[in-house]
Amino acid sequence: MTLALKVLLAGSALLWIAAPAGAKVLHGRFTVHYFSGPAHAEAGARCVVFTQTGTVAGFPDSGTWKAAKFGSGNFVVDGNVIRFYGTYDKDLKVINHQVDATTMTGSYDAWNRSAIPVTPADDGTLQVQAGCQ
Amino acid sequence: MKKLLILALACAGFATGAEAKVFEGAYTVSYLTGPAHVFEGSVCVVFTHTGNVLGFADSGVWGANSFGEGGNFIVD
Repeated sequence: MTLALKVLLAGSALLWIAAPAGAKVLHGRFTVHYFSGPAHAEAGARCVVFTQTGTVAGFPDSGTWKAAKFGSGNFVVDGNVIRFYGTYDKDLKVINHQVDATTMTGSYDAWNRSAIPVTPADDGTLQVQAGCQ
Repeated sequence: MKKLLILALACAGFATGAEAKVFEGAYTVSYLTGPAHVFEGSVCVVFTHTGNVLGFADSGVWGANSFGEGGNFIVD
């Protein structure tokens, strides 16, 4: 792989890509680490790809996200807070993430909607890192 | 008078012992939507401490009668 290509790939993983008007735009690949329970034991990690569309619920910095073999949904950047939500496990479960855009830490909660009543599936804290391995 | 009552109950989350704080009591949750954060409504939520949710010492159940919903909470 050439150096130029490596630089290009690294650049694509950046969280905030400066837009001409000064607005920040969430776009690219990020690793989301999930931590569960009071001891915050790492429960797993996913590579999430954010794609900017600017069309979600009136938020100019918004779009879709997708994690291969996991799930997908929408995201919005609301000031200093990133929210992304969607479904996973063949659409049987719903997951919400809320992330502080400065610290790139936050929390998540997941729900099993395969039967009524909807029941909690998981929850905990998370950390987001630019790029995926 | 009602406002005073809500305020008093909302103070129930403060420290009750020498160590951990306990989250409990009635709280007004206000919902704001969209990029302009337009006020959408508010709900009175009552938190009841049980301490037995997923290993979290400060945890319990919540309910909102007007909302028709309820569930668990944890303080992490």
